[in-house]
Amino acid sequence: MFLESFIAGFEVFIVFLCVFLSFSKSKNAGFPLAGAGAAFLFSILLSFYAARALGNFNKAYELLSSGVLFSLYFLFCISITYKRMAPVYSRNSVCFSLLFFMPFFLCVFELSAHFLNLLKTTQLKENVTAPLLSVFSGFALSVFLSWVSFRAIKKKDWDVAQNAPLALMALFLFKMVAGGVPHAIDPPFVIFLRKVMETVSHDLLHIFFVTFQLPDHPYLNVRVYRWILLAVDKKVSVIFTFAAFFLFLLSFFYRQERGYAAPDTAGGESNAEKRRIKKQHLRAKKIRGFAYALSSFFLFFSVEQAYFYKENVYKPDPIPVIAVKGEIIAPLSDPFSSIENGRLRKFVYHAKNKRIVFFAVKKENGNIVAALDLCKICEPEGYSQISRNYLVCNYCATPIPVSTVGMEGGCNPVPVPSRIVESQLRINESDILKALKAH
Amino acid sequence: MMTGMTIFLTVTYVCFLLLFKNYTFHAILVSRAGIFLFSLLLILFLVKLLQSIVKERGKENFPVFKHAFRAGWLLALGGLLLSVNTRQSYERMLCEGQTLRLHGLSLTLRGVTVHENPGGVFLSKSVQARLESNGAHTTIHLFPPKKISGFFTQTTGFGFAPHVDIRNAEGNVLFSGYVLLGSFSERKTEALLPAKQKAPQVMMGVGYFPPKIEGAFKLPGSPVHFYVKIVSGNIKGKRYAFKGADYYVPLMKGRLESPQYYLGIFNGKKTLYLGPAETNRKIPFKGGTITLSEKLRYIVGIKVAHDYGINVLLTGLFFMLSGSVLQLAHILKRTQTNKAKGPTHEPS
Repeated sequence: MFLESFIAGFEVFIVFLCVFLSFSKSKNAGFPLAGAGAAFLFSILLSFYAARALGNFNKAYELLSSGVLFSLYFLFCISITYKRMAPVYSRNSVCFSLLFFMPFFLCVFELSAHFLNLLKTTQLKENVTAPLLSVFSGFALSVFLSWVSFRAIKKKDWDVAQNAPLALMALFLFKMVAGGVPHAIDPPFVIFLRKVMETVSHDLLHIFFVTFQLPDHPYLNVRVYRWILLAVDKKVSVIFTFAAFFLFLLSFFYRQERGYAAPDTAGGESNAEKRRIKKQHLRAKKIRGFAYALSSFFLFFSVEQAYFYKENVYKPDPIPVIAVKGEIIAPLSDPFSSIENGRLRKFVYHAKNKRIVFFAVKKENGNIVAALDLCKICEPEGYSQISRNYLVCNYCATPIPVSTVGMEGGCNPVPVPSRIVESQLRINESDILKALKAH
Repeated sequence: MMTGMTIFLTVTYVCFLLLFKNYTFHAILVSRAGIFLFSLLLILFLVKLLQSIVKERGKENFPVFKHAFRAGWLLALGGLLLSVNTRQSYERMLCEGQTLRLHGLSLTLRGVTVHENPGGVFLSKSVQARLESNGAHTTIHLFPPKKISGFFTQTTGFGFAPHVDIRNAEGNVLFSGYVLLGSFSERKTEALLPAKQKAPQVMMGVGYFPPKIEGAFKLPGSPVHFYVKIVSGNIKGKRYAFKGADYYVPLMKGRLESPQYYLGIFNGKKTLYLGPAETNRKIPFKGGTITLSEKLRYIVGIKVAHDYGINVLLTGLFFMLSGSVLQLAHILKRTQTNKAKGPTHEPS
């Protein structure tokens, strides 16, 4: 706990340092800012090792991926502050940054929720100072930000409003102080945008089906329907989300580059001077391109993270099991996990050149049921788990309540008769083969 | 500025309703605010397009294809908005001989033809319905829909309607006609059956594809409820029994004739009769008799839709497609011409 608190404190210090340096009028503030960004990355890595040492692997992985992403973005912010990047440091980058970080404004609404949460933590941990200090600093920062913004608007000092790194870092700090590191690294806007993309593409497709009176189920041709389903696939919505960001960024980049004319070297400079000017121009162009490429790179992983990590899909690897005297024995717990935590446990059994994947899951009523990792309808791509209460078909993405697992028919996984003996699931080999044959 | 603000407002409105109010995109398009915002957007974009056309019309390289594409997507958006807001759609099950009358449209189902397809799959023209509309005969199927008197008409499924004759103890007719199979209007009938018909193991088991071979009904004001199931029948001269989840496969081979039934008669939770029912034979039960005749009619689900926006939408899509293809061709041609011309600047 001490280590975690120390690292969190260090991160806050680094972010404060970044904000302070952003306020600095020095044109060479980029170097210390880069150092601060690297230190932030280092602190995230420390958090990763700390979480790993404490045995929280999911948290460690989340911290690592998010830490790397945010460090990249920090570096991007720093690079656009640096004097050579001055042309990029403009309204365009601010627009993009504000779009990406827009949900951070929602902190104002989130603050109350976090405040309640922190109060609960205080009661549990009997430690009043740290959480209340956190809330107070968040409040103070929001007042300060509001003051800066109103002042800028009143004086029409748009340069202040255009200071992207300052705005980003302040907002990031605001978010972090209000919600702690885990909330600061959430990319909610990406998730929101992906959800909107997914719903709109699905609904638009449906509207087209209704308007043109197309049969919307695949009794015509399953292959055609699979192609149509691609349009509403979650992976496609991730690509659309990325494309939305990327095209936005690309259009700004294109417009900006169009605005920069090649340097006029028709004067009386020497040839060497002309070459130097041209070289400088090309170099600035390359740096600007690099900044946008870096940003796109960041975006791609951010969107990917929003899809793969924030959906909280649990997709375990099957554990190999064997049969003893015609009875398959599958352990329901091991040092790393147990069926008692409500998570799906998958097993794989090899019988007569057949690879049979089945799983066990604990229902709300406490019963443990076993089923084949396939249903009677879809391609046998198996199931994943979303939250404790739903399985989801990996092929058609149909959610299936855990409470109906063990029942026959429809999208339910094919049930297999089983019994529990001393924290082991036991299934007759003949039963599982029969279930597989019936399928 | 105005366009930007409208885009921002529209996007915010759409996102808010989708994310926090669980609206569908369709519901947003038909909401008052949705209609207002999207129409305003449409008008603003149209004004911009016209301004740009007026500004560039005298130029040598007037971007006609680009403007065609822009006009196309405006038409598509307008057509979509018009379609979702003005579309009128009706769906009904029609028995052979029945007539559907609707806003000047009169459709009489004259017959149904089932065409066999390899592998027993349903294709868009597997089930064809012969219709008579204002004296003219036409055939409709699942897709594409056929335009009859301004209505896009298609089939949505098919099934069976056996002829039933029910009389009371005195021999007076209580009901004589065709009953549509496919529904369990009396839910408790289903619970009283000893075995349930297995549902087809096909993903496409939606609506009336595949057809239902069982159903339950009751007479108004009577506690007696009936269950009828087709258990076998002749198709193209061959006898088939309709068993298990694959019962529908032979039904796709042709028209069903000489059906045999399984009958259930219940009074509340009490079973009055449960067993096979020969055709044209009176089956007595407490309170009357029932006769299932050999006469069997087909029923077809018919969907008719009237849409003012569909032609606008299609025109828009056509303009978008042709505009983008021609624009691409234009760019390629220009690039080739420029290459052929060589470098334009003079050597120093």
